[in-house]
Amino acid sequence: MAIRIGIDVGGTNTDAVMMSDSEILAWVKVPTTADVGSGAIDAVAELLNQTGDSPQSVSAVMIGTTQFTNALIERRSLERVAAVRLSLPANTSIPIACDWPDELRDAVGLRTYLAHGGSEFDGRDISPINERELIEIADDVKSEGIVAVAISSVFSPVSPKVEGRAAEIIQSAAPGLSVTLSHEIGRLGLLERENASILNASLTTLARHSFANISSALTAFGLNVPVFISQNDGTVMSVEFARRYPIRTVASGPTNSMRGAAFLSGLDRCLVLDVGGTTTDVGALSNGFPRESPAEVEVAGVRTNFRMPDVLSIAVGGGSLIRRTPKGVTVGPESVGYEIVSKAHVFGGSVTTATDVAVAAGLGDLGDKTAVAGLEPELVRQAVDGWHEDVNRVLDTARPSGEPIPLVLVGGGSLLVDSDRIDNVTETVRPRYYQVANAVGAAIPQASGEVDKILSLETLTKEQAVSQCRVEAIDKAVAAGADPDTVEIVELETVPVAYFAGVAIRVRVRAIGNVSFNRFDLMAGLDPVEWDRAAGPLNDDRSTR
Amino acid sequence: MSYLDTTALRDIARGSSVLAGGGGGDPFRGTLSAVEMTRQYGPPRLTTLWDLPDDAVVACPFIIGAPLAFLEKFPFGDELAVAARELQRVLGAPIAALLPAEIGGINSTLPLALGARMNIPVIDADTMGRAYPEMDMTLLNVEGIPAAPTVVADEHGNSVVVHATNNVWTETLARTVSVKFGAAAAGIGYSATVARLRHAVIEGSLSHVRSIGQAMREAAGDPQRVIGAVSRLTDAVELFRGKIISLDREIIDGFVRGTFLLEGIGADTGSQMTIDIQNEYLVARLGGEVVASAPDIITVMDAASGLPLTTESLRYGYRLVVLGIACDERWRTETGLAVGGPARLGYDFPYVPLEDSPRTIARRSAGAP
Repeated sequence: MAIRIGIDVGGTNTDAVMMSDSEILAWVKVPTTADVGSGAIDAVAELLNQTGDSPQSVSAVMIGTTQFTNALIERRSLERVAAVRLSLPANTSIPIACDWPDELRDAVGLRTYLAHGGSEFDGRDISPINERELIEIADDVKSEGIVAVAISSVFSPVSPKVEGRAAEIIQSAAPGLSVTLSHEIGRLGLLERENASILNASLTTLARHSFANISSALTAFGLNVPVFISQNDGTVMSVEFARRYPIRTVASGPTNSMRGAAFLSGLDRCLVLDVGGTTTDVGALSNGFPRESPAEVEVAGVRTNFRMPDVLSIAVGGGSLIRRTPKGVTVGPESVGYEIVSKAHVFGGSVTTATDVAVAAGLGDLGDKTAVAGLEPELVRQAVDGWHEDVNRVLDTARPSGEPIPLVLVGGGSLLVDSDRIDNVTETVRPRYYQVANAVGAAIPQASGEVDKILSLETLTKEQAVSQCRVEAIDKAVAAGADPDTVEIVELETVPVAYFAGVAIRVRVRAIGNVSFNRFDLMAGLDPVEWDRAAGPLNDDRSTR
Repeated sequence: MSYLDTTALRDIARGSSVLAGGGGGDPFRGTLSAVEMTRQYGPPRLTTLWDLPDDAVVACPFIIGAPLAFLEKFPFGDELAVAARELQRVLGAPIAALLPAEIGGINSTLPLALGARMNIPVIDADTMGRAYPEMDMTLLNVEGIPAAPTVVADEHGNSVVVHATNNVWTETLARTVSVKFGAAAAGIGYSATVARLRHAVIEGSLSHVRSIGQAMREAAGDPQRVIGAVSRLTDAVELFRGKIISLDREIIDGFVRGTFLLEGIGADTGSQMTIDIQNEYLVARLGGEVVASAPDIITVMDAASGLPLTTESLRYGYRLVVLGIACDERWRTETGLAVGGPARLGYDFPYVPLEDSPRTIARRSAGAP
């Protein structure tokens, strides 16, 4: 029996499930620890304890983590970055990272360089790469003591080789640098792709340490299994891949909840409402995947354009404070958060929370019901009406269309929702294991590859262009960990380029396949001690630099 | 003559998004480059036609190419300066001031970037009073001012001068050249003397959008105050409040076409409005009857934030406040309507000025804004 473990490391709790195929064998919630490894081990130990299985029966561990998102938001453990843009003589009018928040720029100690290179939309060079110029940049980077470099080139999704060639020159002049290439991170949109690449480069040292920590903790526990990491689009990547692209984890939290909701409910076209302690996330799924955000998404105050789930949030959750104001009763945005287990009336506390009101209104049976018997009926009515109005409004904005579709409720706070008050849905489902939908989402073993580029039709036919992109997307999915025999194209879109129909075509392809656990042997070639040595010291104290 | 600091530049970008009527493209990159040019070369100066001698030459800078290519290449720097210098050579006269072609989106902040870069003042005016998808949809065309000679340039210093017999040829030839310039090029044209332009432009438009943008900034966070301030400053009529219940829209590389349906909320409960999109919001219909159309401006504000929404950013379920803003009177003449009216945009209904629409009359007599 192939057992896999899905772990979702949140800010407060670490949730974990043990699964065999589509069956859930056990689940657990434990407090998150400072080093992700020991929290993960606590969860795994508890799961094995519940089922009586041995570590040897586990075939893979799949982890979703918010630690890279938090590092960016809290601006800590970030590596210094040198950013090189290949574009001269073009693109001098907007400098690299010029609209970043100052504190983040400072936290990554950003040094920027413009150099010759870059391509036109049809693949022609803007100008050839200048080797000497890049060697000088490498020397400067080295003398600054910077080890992480982000390289961006104009139209690199069309001509990725330019960035690769520049990386070779820089790395041979300054060996030991860790290099992020923008075409491997984002799609068309130079500023946004460049931003995401710099953020990625700043996280590479933390990624090496963190994944080494997880791997050694699992090994020490006797789990010699492949480890996979959740990425933004709801698929997983091998830990080796994640080490190079930590930025791909930053939106995995909400995606995992939504994918988990789809899995648990068996619905692949639905709305999902994930009610937590402080906030409620809402999104729509089609084909089991979250809809993609139509707009540029800010990460830690920086504009990026990679594939992100379209998730809307409102500041209402199980721990939201209920207040009486001159304008009426308000729910949130202040919340007791995880302290709900001691502060809410139903749990013996003295604060009126949304959960208390929900219990008083008869929406759920939780804690000590008599503790809320004294709540004024009018307050209860107004509060419950108020948040259902908020929930209906945000559900409306999340819908793909006006057509009624099912709603899936997940998250610990989902008892707040009275299905009779939800408008325009065919049914409301709260599946079993709704409390750990995020960990279930993390345990879904699929890997993907995506291509989004413009191709010139001067040397290729449209069919050749499309088939070239299909092959590339499949290769990327396999590189991320998919079994080549199971990879399928799930999205294929060709768009004529405005003004240039017949001259150029934009092709977007996404391939997905099931992860093959056998192909990856975590420990082969990935010695944690090696990792630590390669990573160098993790420096949290910027002032020493 | 006054100088614009970076706060003023951002206010102009913000305020022009109201008059852009949902179009004008993403002002983000244009604003960043204007701010950067200001940092490097000092702030752009603002002037008026009345501060310039009659025989001084003025021209309109713009970007030309594919919206997709502008995502990768930013032709707001040296390319623009190359084009401006070449135009001066062709004309045999210095460009005394720059004139914004439109007041909405990228082409309203771009003259400020070039003005800072070349130390040329920018006229507090524009040639549309709104945004339109094509460069010939301008009051300069209504006044018979030719786009040619137009110069198109790239970042290498290459430039091509287009001498064409009419504005359609200028657009076709300039666009063809821009492909070889990487589909993202800088241009400048519509040069004329100050005397010729005096009655052809909309004066005070940069100051106007700056005050709108400033009011929006000061009221930020309170959607009702933002919408109230915008309505007051533009003398707008609130056409409708409603929720999007269907959205039929295609976005092909930056070009947006389609229609959406609003179901009334609040006082408008029980009625429905449809709005047509061709990059901008072009026609608003209430129960099938046209209540506002181009060249008048239809602008759509998000009821939750008070911010204007572009046609790309609409989504099902959004709650909107639809405002109508009267266009410049010159758009309402026979020649004005031929250049920017409903017939030019493919419609066969007769144009009715916003103020004469039954909806406006009903709203205003009811005391609504």
